[in-house]
Amino acid sequence: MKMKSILAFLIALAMMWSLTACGSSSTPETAASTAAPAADPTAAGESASAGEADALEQWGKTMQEQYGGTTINALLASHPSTTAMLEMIDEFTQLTGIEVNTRVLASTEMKTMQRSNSSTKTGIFDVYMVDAFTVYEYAKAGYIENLEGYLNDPVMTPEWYDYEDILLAFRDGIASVEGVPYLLPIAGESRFVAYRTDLFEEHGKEPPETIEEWLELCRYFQEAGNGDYYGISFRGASGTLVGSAHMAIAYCFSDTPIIDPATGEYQLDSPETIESIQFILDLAECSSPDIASMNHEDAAALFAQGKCAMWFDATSLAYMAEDPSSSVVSDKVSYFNVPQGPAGGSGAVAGWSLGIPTDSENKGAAYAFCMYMSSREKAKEYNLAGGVPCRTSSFEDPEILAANPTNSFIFAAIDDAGELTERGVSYNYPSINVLSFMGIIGNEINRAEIGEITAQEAGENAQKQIESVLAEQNA
Amino acid sequence: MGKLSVQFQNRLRKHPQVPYILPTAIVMLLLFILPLVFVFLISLTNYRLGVGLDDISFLGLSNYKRLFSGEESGFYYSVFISVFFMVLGTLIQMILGMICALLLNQRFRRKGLVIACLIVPIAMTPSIASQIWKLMFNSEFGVINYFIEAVTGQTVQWLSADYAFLSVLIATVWQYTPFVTLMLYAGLCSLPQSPYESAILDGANKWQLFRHITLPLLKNLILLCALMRSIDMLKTFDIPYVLTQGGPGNATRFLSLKIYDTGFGEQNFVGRASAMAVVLIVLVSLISLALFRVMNKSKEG
Repeated sequence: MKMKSILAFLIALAMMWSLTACGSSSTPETAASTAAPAADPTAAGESASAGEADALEQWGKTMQEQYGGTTINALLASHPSTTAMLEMIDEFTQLTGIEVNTRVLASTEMKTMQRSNSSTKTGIFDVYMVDAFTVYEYAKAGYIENLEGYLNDPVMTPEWYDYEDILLAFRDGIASVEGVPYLLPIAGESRFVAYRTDLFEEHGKEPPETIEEWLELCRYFQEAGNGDYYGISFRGASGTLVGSAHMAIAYCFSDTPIIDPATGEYQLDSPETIESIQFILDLAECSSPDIASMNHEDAAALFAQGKCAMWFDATSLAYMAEDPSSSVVSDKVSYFNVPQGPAGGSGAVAGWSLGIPTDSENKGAAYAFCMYMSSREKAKEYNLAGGVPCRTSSFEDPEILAANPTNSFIFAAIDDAGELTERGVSYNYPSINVLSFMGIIGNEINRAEIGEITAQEAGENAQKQIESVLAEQNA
Repeated sequence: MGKLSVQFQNRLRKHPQVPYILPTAIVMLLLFILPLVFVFLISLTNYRLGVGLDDISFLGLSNYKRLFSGEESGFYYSVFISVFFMVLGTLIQMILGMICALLLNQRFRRKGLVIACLIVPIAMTPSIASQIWKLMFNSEFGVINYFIEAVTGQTVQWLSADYAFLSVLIATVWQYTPFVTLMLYAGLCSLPQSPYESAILDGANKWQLFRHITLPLLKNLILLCALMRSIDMLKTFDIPYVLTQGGPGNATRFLSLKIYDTGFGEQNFVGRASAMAVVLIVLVSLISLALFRVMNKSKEG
């Protein structure tokens, strides 16, 4: 009897130990990496020439002297780029002696956590991964640090970082506010359309030139599929999901689909914007009956399972269609840019960057982390690990292009995004409300998708709600 | 000093209960009353996370005016489906739970195994369970449609606007009925046997036994169970959040989801969300109060 109770106690103890071991898996990992320093010193310098490797080591030594032993906490979104960064953390710790704890959350939850942490100044986090849509909001709220000083400091930002190498669309478009750099871009994104080459060949179709042709193609394949497959899939669920899908085609219909930067007036009820909402509704008609509840992962899965002729989403998600282990169409996918609309191209620019919360107590060490991860020196390693490129050098590197054939299409889509600048507008309009209003617009479009209201009403409702928010803000 | 302590002792003698309830009262005040007052205060402002404190202004009752004037689109609908979901869900769970408890109360082998199976849904985190339900409900590759298609040749769009409410209800009933079952089964086990024996001697049939002995004896437990389930159902969040995110359209935007969407889910209007939260608190309190009244009455009777 006594034996039995001792045994039970031991088992319980073992279970408790395994539970705690599961709970804090990230810390022991980083701890283990420092316990065995320089286990693989060649990995760091492999891709670089000897001189550059020296420069990197030199920087590592400086960082070690200044920040060695510091522990920083990074709040990251679940994203292919985060996966790549996680792989590189051990190496970073070896080089600089800076320990990194990471917390990875789904993007919506992560933003809620960023807002609540920063507005109460908890100082818990030292690194934020920031969505392009919230850059203006965070900068205006004083959540994130101005990085100008760090970027101009040759010790903190050695030559091998190469800031100019980052595409202007991202440097300015997703990481700066009014010309002041607040973030370092880590993933550059645009929108494009993936299509099934086998279906297009079978039916003798070509990628479309105009947005009307695109819709025609969707309708054609919806009918041809006859329930076996659908014309197109995209993120159609309520809130910012379908809201961002709408924004990605809105600039095809108007230079000022959401806000007129000249007057600061919102125009969701303008004829052009209503037309763009109607276009999304028409696309939804050529899709699965579930479209109104599909998020980006559902939409990608539908395409990857061979249930759609086309798939319209973020360039960074292409891996979901390309991965042969999860996609049955991986060998018959190609891409085209969002076609030209009456007002021009889509111009979608999105992405993620790294920044430092103003309440962080380890800003120097945090900057070292952000700089290292987004540097040109480490770009190749980062891109080959699945990190989404945002540097000219990456898009020109044949090895990176070969490793992920979608990169060349992504580059074309992003190149297209530069067109908006020529039209004198910026995709992420300067407002703290970009994401809030995208949610409002998305909710109304979603109601229209299921037939509760019309496109006209969706636009008018969104306009009304936005005006009421603005009135309150100015109260 | 001496005078003070005498006064203190006198007071203590008059109210001897104070030292006993003080710790609880303090905890209640800190964790419950103060946040409630805080939520109410915030609901009078246009507060948003990320807006500097200087830019926050008092709006008076305008957030509430928005809600009740119908300016906040979908608010009444959210209240309606929340209450409807509560009534329907509680009813189904209570009836199913009762049936299961009665079945469990029979003599059969491997009862322990059955009870262990019943504990599985309770032990599962609702958000994980909902992820699995989401996969099963998938109209293209979900297992439920696989069987429906095999039998009828048609598929059901479980997460579409027409069926989303039903899907959330099914997942919720699956998750929480075992809880009701176990509670009622425990009640059944503790019932005295003598009323049954004498009723059987008088020639009562099974239905009469249930209707006139089991139900009255279990009444308080049933009401308590219904109270707990109703409150839980009214503030349901995790299952619809994972299954449908409140969509499509507003089909499953229960009040709790509406509050989350407005306050945190990227829209970030904390002031407005707080006003809705206050409405939800009032609603929950009213319904619990009504059920408590019924319970007390039945006790007196």
